[in-house]
Amino acid sequence: MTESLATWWGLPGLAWAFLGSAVAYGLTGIGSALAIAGVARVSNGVLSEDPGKFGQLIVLTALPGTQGFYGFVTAFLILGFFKLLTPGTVLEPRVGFQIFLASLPIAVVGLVSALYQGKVCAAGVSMVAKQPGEAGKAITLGVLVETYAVLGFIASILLLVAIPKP
Amino acid sequence: MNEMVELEYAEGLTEDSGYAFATGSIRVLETRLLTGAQLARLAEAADPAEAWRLLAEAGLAMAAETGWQEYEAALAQELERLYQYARSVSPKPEVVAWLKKRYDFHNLKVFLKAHFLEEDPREAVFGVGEVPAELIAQAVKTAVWSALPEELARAGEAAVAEYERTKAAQAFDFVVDREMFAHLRETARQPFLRGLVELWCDLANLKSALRAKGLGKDRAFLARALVPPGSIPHDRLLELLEFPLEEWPESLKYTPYARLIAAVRAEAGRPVDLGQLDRLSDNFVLARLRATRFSLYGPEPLVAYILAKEMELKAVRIIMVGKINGLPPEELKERLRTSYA
Repeated sequence: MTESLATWWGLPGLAWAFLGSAVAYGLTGIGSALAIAGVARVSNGVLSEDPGKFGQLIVLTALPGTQGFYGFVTAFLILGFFKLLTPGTVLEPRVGFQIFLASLPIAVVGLVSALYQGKVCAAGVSMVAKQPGEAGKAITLGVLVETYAVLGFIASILLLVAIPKP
Repeated sequence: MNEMVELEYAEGLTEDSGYAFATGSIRVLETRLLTGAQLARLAEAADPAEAWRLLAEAGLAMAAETGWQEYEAALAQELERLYQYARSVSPKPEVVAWLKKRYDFHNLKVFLKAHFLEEDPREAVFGVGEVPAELIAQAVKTAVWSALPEELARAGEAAVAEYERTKAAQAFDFVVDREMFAHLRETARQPFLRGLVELWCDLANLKSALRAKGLGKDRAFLARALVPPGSIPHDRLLELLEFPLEEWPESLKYTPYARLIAAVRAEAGRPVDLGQLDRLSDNFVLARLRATRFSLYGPEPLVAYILAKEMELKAVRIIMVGKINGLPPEELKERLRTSYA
């Protein structure tokens, strides 16, 4: 009982863990939504003149959405690993803070990589508009940015696994 | 001051992504512009009817709907369609209105010349301006300028005053062009548009300088013909008159125009061929427009597409007029611009 009252920088362990979970999904979700919105507007423009390209453009438009998924999965892993939704769970502030730190790789890398991937994909959309046969190349270049979101996701999971569970 | 910077920044953000839709649709439309090879094939057509048929096949909608005899009307309608489309995809009307303003000044010039010089308007009046053409015609006829927007009224009044003073037919071209470029420069918001005006001003001034040189006119004549300076100051241009034409490329060495001037001189050899200069200037502008191909969210692709399409329509008009007058294909091809596509 004494543990749960202890705080780090004013926040108890559970609050740090929730913050980690919230940041992991919050930032990646924002990044993905903004990025998709940017690509989708260019795609809409292309489709307004050439509706037949929908099949090629949907992949490019959806590509920056994966970061949001990684963040969402990370948020769930935090809730699951540390039984945050189980009533009566108590976390040491030290552990809670570790969880928060572990969420940062996917949160920060996810946000930034989504925004930049959005730019690459939007440029890819305008390339596909001119060269319909080159959709594969445009997607490949977009996926290169994706790599770093995946690595951030893996880093967050490894860190979460390394934290001693209650 | 700080507040202004912040406002501009915020505007920059919204503006930046606002043209994403336009850019997407333009990337498709650009693929439908006539290519250099298509233009060459048009130039080789046996007669106007065949050229028109080839145009319809190449996808110019108006060509499919009307006969070649109505090519002027068809091209005017195509231009109107272009601006309707541009307006429909722009988040804000400013940029398209800015481009349309050029047609108002052009119309003003045509009406002024028709009224005061009592000549048939040789150049066409365009229906795509911001101000209805009839309104401009009415203002010119009655000399009541209050119905026109301020910049047009000012240009009209100044041109008439200059004409009354000098009785020179070029007064209308000189004054209205000067007012137009001054207005465009004043109202250009984006850096890209500002760069474009600078380019136009430089090309217009170089053209005036070349023409003045060709006619053996003095500095005072050129000074009247100059529009606001782009990147080359007026002094430099006036100074150029003192040099023989051969030395112009050398004295323009540190501007982007040295090669252009050298090419005009080399290709002409004789008195400067101003038609050739027009063609080379258009190619120069097209080269600048091609640099917007990597831009995604700003108004650059839209502006570039509008200007490229305008040049395409100009090329089609040149071909049709050439075919009707039985110009040989080689001569016609020489007059054509390179294509944006």
